[in-house]
Amino acid sequence: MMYLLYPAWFLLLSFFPLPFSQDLWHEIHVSKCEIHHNAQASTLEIATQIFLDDLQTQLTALGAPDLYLCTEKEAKVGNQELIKYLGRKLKITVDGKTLEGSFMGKELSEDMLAVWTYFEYQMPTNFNKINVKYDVLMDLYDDQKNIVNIKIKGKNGYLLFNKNHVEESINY
Amino acid sequence: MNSEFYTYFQLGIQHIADISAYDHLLFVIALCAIYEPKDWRRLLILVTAFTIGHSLTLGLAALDILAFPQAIIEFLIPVTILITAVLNFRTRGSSLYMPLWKYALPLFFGLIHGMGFSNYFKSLLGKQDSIVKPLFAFNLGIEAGQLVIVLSLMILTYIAINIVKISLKNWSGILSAITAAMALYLMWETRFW
Repeated sequence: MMYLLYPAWFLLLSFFPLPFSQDLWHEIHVSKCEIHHNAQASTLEIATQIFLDDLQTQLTALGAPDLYLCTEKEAKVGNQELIKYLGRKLKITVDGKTLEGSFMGKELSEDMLAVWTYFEYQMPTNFNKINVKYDVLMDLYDDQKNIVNIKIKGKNGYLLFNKNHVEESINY
Repeated sequence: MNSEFYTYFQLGIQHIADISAYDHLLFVIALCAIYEPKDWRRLLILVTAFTIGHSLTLGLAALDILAFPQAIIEFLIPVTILITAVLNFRTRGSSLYMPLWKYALPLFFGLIHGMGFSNYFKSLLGKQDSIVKPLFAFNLGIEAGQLVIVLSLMILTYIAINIVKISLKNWSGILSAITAAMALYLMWETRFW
């Protein structure tokens, strides 16, 4: 008798509006940030890697026009919008003081799917504690994960951020 | 701070556990639907065969040896779920019940799933000196995550069979019908023509 139920289950599920249907194709949502300390120049060299399609979707949601980043048609405000967004989403705080970064440039990844953005931050010569906050795209995707690789003073480590955990402090 | 290995391992586990990556979840459910807890050895082999296939294509793509047309792969993934679910209705003694099919099919389907986000993963690791280690850690995390799904499913199966007293045959039928329906839905959503 139970066999009669299979088609019923099947039909029921076929018409069931899946709760997660808007974002059905779900490659893994990950962005990366690399932070390297250049002790000689007393700077932090930072590179962020963000997938272009995700980035444009996020910036559009925040009211930006189509930017065509890293293409010939790139909008005049392309860099400006990118810097404004990353300025809010990437924060480096050293011993309680939030640093101001300078935009050094951007480039397309080799496979042309992602954009690398480069920043440089002036560091004090001596420091004890660095706080890193990196929450790009977390407002866009609930499952967004951000990997931060930090190489400072011979310590090389990784942080994995998600929506509920977007910053961490490291003592040196 | 954590090591690179642990970070990518975690990423692998979390990817599987994530509801939005449920094509993976569906496949594992379809694959395990006809088994009960006492078949755990066979389950372990099946899931590992799938992971090996998955790791192979992910690795080949990440190392730039192969590239796959993304749109077609996205469509093929639910096709593998549908086939696995439908084959659960085969009868004992049919030629589709032979070990070759049982183990080779998950391996082959693993190859297809691995292609699914290989391009994406490659891009993520782009600038890195060595991508082999994070890739390995990520795959190990995926395997661990899958085993957690299998374990949860087997707990449900145990309850269904021993407490609710549904027969294994009916329970498998229900699971397979559900996963088949959801796979069809996914196929419609990812159609590339």
